[in-house]
Amino acid sequence: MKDKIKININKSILFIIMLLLCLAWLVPVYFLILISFKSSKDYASSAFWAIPKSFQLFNNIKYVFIETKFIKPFLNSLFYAIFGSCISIFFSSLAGFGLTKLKLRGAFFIFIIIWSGMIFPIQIYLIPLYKAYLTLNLYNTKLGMLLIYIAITIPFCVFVFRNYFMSLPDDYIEAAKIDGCTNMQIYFRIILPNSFAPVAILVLFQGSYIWNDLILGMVLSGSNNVRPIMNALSLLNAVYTGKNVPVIMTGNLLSGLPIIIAYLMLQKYFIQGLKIQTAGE
Amino acid sequence: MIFGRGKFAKGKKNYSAFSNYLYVAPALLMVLAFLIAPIIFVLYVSFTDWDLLHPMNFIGIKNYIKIFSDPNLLISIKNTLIWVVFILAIPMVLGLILAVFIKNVWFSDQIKSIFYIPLAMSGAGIGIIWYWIFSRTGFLNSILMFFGAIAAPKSWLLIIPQNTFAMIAAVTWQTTGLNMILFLMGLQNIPIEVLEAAKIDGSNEWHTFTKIILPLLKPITTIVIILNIIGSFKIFDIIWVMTAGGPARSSETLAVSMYKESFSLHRMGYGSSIAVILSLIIFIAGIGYLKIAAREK
Repeated sequence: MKDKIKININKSILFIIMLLLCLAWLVPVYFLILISFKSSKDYASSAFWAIPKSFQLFNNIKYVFIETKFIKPFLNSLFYAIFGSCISIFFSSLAGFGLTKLKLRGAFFIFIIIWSGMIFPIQIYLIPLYKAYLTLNLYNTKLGMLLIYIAITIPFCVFVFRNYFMSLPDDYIEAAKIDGCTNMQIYFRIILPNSFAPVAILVLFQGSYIWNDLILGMVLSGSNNVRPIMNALSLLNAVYTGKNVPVIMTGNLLSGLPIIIAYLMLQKYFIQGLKIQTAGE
Repeated sequence: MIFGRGKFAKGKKNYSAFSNYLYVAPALLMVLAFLIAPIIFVLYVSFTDWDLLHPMNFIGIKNYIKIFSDPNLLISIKNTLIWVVFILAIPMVLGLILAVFIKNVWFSDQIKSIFYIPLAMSGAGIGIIWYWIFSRTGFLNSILMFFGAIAAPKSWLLIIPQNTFAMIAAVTWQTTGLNMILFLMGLQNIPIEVLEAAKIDGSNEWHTFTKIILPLLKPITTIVIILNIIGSFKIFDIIWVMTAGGPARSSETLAVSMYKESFSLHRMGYGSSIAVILSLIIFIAGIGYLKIAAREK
């Protein structure tokens, strides 16, 4: 009995410490939302944590999207994230299929070349890409941005698909071959329909990677028509500092929203993607 | 599973037709054109004095020597090492403690998802929130003045070295959840019988933690340490948004210096050599990671 009470006291203390930490973790999110609700006058005149005097969120959203032309980068990044991740996943699943099921000579070597794109920091690509994009007239074009987002996400996608396809049994494929299926038919009728889990993980994970990219946008784009969202957000912060902080926070809230919504709906796949990326499992 | 050859790669000699390479071609060509070719080009540029305007001149290893004598870069290297130490000391240790104790707490699933929130946010977005927490009119100044700890607001992001620690706080908020996930994966592999046996033998919680859990977590801990080292070398977005390496280039890390030298000062040759050094460090750490990960599996 005494032991049980002691354990419960320990458990309660631990629980309270955890709750305090959780509160600390929620503070930044709270301010993100709170400041987005304020007007710029309200922010300047009242305490940092004060409750907004009037509800300004919709006015702020309107201001951010229309006046600062934030809508353009928002739509750009939506385009990059959706098409970039889907095209990358399509190319990579084809490659993964080829590398595991088609008895290619040198398959392991090809895989190592593709996979090597995962280990270097992005800084090593910046100068050559900048130079090449200027020369090829890809600098500050939507096509240019889309191409680099596809290329940079391929290595991880191939890595995931190769591991996944290696775990798929070959019996079905052998049977389909005996029935006269071509490789293309096997890919579309057997492999792809059985790949929902890796495709879901990768769409979420690579889509949010592209959405959250800052540095490629900084180096390879130069106008609002092409600029990805995080680049626009960082410029918004630079331009409106000291002028209109709620507008910056509203921009921040809006630019975080698509990923947070996707994350809340599909948390399982999101965490799975993180695990694969960091620990290779 | 990290690597492992496909079933068909070994043994069987009946390789497939050339047309089957078309399946691999799009991915391979994209990677060769956009990722492999640039590495070769950047290696070459790092031995030149290229500045975008004039033709490149080959200058040997001068850029590499300059990195270790340039005051700006020496500060940058020092800052990078500070980052590595504190990223290992704070978010990683916090992640470990949370992972070990969270299963003993009520509502552990809900608490976990609170620590996972930052994982769904961008570095730039997180940096901006924390920029305003540490700004002159921000949360930190407000609360310190509320309790009378300071008389007038301070610009924390302009004071050295406080600005670096402010940014480390932001990264701690961002990555503790990820560290927790990794340690939770490690904890899953500890058989429950071991912990129960320890309890029956009268081991208290602290003893169980230091003498049983920590040694059993050693494999995953090594992996997490390497991942955090790699991660701290790569941090760019949060630093860029919060201080951009300033004031006066005092809070730069190698990742930020590379961008600044190349794209603000247009010293492409010099920037390339910084990129090469940075990549070399990350590459070596990455190889270490692969070796350990392969051994553990």
